[in-house]
Amino acid sequence: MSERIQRQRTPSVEREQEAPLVVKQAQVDDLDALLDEIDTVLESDAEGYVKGFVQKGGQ
Amino acid sequence: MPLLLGTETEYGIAAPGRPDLDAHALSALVVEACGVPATPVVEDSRHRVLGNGARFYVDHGHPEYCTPETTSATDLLVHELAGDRIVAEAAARVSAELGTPVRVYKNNTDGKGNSYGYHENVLLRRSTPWEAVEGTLPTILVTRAVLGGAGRVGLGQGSERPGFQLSQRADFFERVSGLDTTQRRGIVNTRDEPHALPRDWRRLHVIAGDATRSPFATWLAVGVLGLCLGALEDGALPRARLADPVGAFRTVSRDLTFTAALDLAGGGTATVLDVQEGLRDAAAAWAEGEPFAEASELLDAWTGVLDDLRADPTRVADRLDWAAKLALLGGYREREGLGWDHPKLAQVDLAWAELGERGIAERLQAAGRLAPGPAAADVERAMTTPPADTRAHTRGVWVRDHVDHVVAAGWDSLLVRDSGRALHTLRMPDPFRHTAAGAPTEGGVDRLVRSHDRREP
Repeated sequence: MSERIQRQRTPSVEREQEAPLVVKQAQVDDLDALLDEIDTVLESDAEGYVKGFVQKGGQ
Repeated sequence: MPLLLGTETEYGIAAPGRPDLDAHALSALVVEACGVPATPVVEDSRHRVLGNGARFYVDHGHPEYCTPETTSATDLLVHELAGDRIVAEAAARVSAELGTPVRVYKNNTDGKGNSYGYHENVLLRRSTPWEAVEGTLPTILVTRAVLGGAGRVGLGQGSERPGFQLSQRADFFERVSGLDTTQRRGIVNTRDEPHALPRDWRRLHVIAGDATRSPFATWLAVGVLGLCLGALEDGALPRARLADPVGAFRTVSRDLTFTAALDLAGGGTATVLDVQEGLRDAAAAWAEGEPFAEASELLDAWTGVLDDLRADPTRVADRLDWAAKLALLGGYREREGLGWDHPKLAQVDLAWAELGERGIAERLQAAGRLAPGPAAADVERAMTTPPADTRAHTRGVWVRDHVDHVVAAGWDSLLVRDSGRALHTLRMPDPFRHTAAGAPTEGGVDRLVRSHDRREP
């Protein structure tokens, strides 16, 4: 157990010291890809989608 | 006392391609299209009891799903997710029949001045002084928005001002305490319908929370509520109370730095995190001496969130709805240079709540950006299987396996016919009795009827 934790920890410490900016860029690209994916399910008419959602009544 | 939890979700509903169908008609179609074992739709009634012990009906122009009674935050979560699937699959069936999309949403406002509820129910002892509940519950619920807020684009009931806030519901509460749920809502709802022996029990009906799409957030919010109420019943909560809960609800909901000074009754101020940490510490101390389902998991998760909110609030985007939503909105704002009044941001807010194949929360889970929920097989099983450890077991089994013999089904009683067509009222005033333990698994309806009042627990 302790050996496995050791093995996992070492590389992440190194990466942190080496190139924190690279990690950050990867996260940004990751988010970008996700936003692109969500864009494919969002309707092109944002205003119409929102305006058409009216819920009268409710608790 | 053991924990008993259940939630009621009113789903938003829309079919843009069929403007002629109003919300009530659409909701009725969805309830009729329920695909799991259920009592039949009769005449004008769209109230159905399901084979998993839940209820599914039309209320105020919304499809509404009440989970069966459960005894832990995880069981509650599993049954709530089962409800989401039942509703989403019914809506998909109606979409196919009508040939146009019928969409259902798990949110609490249309952003145009209307709000509808997500209600949590927690069983309390009748002996708990109501003044203690009324005095402390607003502080618990207002500050809990940092955990359970679903996030909302727009400020004010009708989104009069652009911006983002933590809670879908905060702007719709106008007083500290009250009976109404559709207008002049009180943070403490005083409804007293225990659906159990009134001498022993009170069912606390909590209407100030948000429906959430992150399974972690749903679990944590209801678990923290249960922990706080357990401590409250034993007089173990701190004295600190918000001086103006209604005003503080709006302040907390808009304070994305978590540093606003909230006035306390009797003088002094505290931040929302100060109050939450005080509650957490008291609940942790209380739980050391009391059995409470999943106490250590809940306390660890609660602490993890509060610590992250102190250090860097963006860290909770992998667990909480408002933060995950805010991260997406921030991404679009930056990439496309959008102001808070841009319709695309309101669209993402609404799309976040949409159930079904376009679900954004599921995409975030698949991408590893949102903590995963319970196993899909557990949720699927809960669509047709009642909890084994409450009276929901008896209700669910009668409906699922013997629906032709069920004349009427309610929370605390069933009216059934035996094989000779004779009527029997099966009372269930104790929610913790009539469980799966000791229930006959064969012998048909007559054996079930005969054993009903005899078996313990």
